[in-house]
Amino acid sequence: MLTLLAALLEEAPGWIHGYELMKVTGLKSGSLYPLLIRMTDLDLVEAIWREPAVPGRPPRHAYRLTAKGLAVAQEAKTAPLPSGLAGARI
Amino acid sequence: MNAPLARSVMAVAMASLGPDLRAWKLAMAAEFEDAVADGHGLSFSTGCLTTAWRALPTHVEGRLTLVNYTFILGLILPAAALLLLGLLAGYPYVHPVYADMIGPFAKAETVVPTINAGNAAAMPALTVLLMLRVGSDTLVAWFAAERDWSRAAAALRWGAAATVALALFAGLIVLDETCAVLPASTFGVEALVIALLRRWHGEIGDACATRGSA
Repeated sequence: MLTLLAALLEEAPGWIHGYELMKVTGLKSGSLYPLLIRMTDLDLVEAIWREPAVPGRPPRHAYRLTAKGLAVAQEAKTAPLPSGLAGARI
Repeated sequence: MNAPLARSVMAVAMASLGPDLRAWKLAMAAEFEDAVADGHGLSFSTGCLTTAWRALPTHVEGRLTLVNYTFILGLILPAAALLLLGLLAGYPYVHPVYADMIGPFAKAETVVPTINAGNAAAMPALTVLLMLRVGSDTLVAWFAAERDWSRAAAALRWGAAATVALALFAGLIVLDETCAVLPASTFGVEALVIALLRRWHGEIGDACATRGSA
């Protein structure tokens, strides 16, 4: 989760797609999506649908940190493991 | 080579994700095309499948899917395999090794059936009946996995007909009521399982429809 928070913080306040997140973080889809689902449920990440760059493709989900997520990510950047994320290592 | 396999794995993953994760299902499907274009389709789809299966116990449809496959793989297919093994072992033409064990439960006197000039000609017909029963069990498992309950019920009726015919003819020809115990008992279990699964699916379908219209 910390790796993902760091990657999303790097991109903030911009949006980033799931597959780009996989490439940036090195996470596999089997790790990335459960984390994104969990972080969205915790209101750390927000998602929107964006039109695809390539015509004929389906709309894509893009992600970015919420205000709460930004605060947690910045805290995580200075303190490696904040109390609120104890046990949240990947 | 990998792309068709990746698409198949992705299709299973998409089918395994519950309605609560519909948005995530679409999100994964959209990213899948980019992963395929990069040559990482299989690892991407395998990850999505892992995600979907890990999420199965968290939603009601997923739990029902798990129960469905538990019954299919744990009861229906083993019952079919047991009958097939019995067939390969000589059942019902020779005294089956388990007849002494199941005879007392069935309150039936075990008589060792012997093949003689009078009944030998009927053995191929008994074989066909038992094979029909094994075939019907396999179809019941297949249709139950597809949640096609009307076809599962039709396959069950076929199995019931084969079981009754087998019991009647085996009882007359080899004079051993225990011949019918195993097929009849496995049929009873299957019919009960399919009735329960069908009912649960109906209840959950109604609940989802009510939730959707609310």
